[in-house]
Amino acid sequence: MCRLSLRVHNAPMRLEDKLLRVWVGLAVLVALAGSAWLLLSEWARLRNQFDVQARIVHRLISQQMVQHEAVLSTLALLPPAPDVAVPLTGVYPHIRSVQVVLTSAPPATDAPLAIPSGQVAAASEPTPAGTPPVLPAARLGVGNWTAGQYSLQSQGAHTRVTLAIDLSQWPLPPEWPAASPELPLAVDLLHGPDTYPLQPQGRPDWDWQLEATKAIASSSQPFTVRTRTHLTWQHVPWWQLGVWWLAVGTLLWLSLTGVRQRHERQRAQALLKLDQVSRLGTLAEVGAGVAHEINQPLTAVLANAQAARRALKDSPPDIALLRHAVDQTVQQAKRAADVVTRLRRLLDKPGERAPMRRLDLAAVARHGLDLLAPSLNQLQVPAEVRSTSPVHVLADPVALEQIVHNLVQNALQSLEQVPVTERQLTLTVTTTPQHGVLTVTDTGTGISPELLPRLFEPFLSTRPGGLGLGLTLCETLANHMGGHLRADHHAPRGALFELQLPLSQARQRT
Amino acid sequence: MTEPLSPLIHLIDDDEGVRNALSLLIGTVGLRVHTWPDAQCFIDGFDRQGIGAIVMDVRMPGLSGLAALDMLLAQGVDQPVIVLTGHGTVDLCRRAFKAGATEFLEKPVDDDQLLDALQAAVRQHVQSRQRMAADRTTRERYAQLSAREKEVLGLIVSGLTNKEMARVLALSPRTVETHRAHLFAKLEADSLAQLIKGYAALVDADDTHTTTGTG
Repeated sequence: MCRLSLRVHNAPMRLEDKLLRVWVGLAVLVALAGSAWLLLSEWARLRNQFDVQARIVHRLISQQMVQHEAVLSTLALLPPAPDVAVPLTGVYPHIRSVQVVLTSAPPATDAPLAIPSGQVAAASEPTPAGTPPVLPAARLGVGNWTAGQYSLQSQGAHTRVTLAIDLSQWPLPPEWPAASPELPLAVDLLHGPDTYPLQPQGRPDWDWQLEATKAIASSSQPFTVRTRTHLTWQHVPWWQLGVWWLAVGTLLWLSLTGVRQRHERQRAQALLKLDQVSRLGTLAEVGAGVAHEINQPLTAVLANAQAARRALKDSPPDIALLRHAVDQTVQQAKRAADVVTRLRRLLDKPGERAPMRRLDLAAVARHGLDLLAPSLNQLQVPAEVRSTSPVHVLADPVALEQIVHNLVQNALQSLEQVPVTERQLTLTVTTTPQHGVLTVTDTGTGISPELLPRLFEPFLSTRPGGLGLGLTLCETLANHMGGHLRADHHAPRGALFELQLPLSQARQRT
Repeated sequence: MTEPLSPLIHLIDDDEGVRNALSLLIGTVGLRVHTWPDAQCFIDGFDRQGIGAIVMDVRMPGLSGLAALDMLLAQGVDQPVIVLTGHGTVDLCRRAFKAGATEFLEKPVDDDQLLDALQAAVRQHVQSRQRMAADRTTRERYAQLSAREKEVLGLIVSGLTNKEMARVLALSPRTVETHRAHLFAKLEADSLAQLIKGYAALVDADDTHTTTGTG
């Protein structure tokens, strides 16, 4: 016999691999570009910061050097007095000693100027008398440069002043860039081939190095300031990079999910369509099979009966032939009845019926509309579900969905016949004392009065090519669930289908 | 066969009940029925020389009715075929007639319709067989004529008198008379009308043949 089967082609509709690769590749590119930008801007920021600090360092050192010259000039211009240099060490701790040597007579004081902290050496040297005081030019004297020690000498009008400077004792001015762990500065003073590390380098050398080298604009102390810093892996903006990659990843995931969801939706719609088609196809097949199965015995019954009728016209009639024909008729009629019984058993399997469940009628109605959303949109039918309070019924989910689907589809087919502006589909959920009621009303062409009483008869279809089984099936399903399906006219125009299903007992509990 | 011209109906249907019932029905009008459970058996086993008709179901397991119909047509089987179907569509009907069916009936079939169709088919088959046989005899006799006799026959068919023929053929009227007598004897014709009716077509065919042959 024919078998009712729903074949759903469950082809794996995964995202196409190619598309996936393109998306991921694009995301990686974007992520890499963003990372590069982040790294470059961080590099620029650090570079800028370093440059500012290097400039500050250079300026402060330059100022100090100028100050040395100023001190020297002042000392050289002043008449030699023992207390002149006293405050010097307090103000400039790195000026270890001041040596003033008188080079001319007035005032002839041979006493060397003593500076408390340093060794003071004073010597008298002959200076040509009457020489007008000129601005002394400072000269760099020798020193232990690698220890930061050097001397600075100036020849004044009467004196020759020599400053012994020890840069290791130089108190860094308050504007000196604070030693930040982010950008530790190493400052060297270069003089010829020698280097004095003013602020030593404490970091290993295997990272990236930033360097700024600038000469000091001082004629007496022509040093070069070299400022360096080291960038390490810790300077990489890991956090920002992480956030960026996470953002790109999230974006990728979201868009892929979106695409996948669209695919899923399309697939669901395709499946739904396929389901409808295959259901119709199966029904047609069943119909043909049933027709053949019933037609065969019917043919035999008719032929036997007609043979008997012909035999009866003979006189005398052939009794043996008649008996045979009648026996055959009975046998074949029974066979036809068997086919019908078998068919009914096949279509109505009580053992395999799905269990009844408690269902929210409005939710089922909305789901039914969702499933047909493409058709609703295409036909521009405004559809709504009206429900004041939740109504729970006891029903077989599949059967109920099938009924709603069929009713909505019927309504759509009717609405298709009327102008767009007049189309309206409403699903209303109400209750009676025992039943939950779902009413499907449309403003379509309605049901003709002569058709209304026969609406649920099988094989009665107003559609060309329709099997006329849809509403019959709906009614049967509703009856199986202990409910009813009823059709009526809808004022002023259209059709109304009212599905009543028993209320779920659990409603009293809630 | 004891009665070679008693028509035999070949009934092909996969359903035993239908076979029995239809053969019973067909038997009531005195036709002999041979039933076959499927088309392949039938094609392999039936007597192609016999007089009769074929009744065949379309929907059968194995070789389908339409496929069998095509095979019969290809093999030059001249028995008329009546096609039975439980699910008659226009398309099926068209295909059946295209494949050479003489009748297309829907199940369950009405007895008058079926039996009338069968009797008509049998009658048609008998006639076509008789015509074929007659044609064969005529051809054989015509072949016995000499060239001159064929010439004379042609002129007779054209409606010439003996004298006119003698003039046309440059023969004496007496010789023409002799040819004419021989010709009537060989063709076993009793009258001029019978002669013309039986052989005019052959003479025409022969004439055109000669004309095209020489020209």
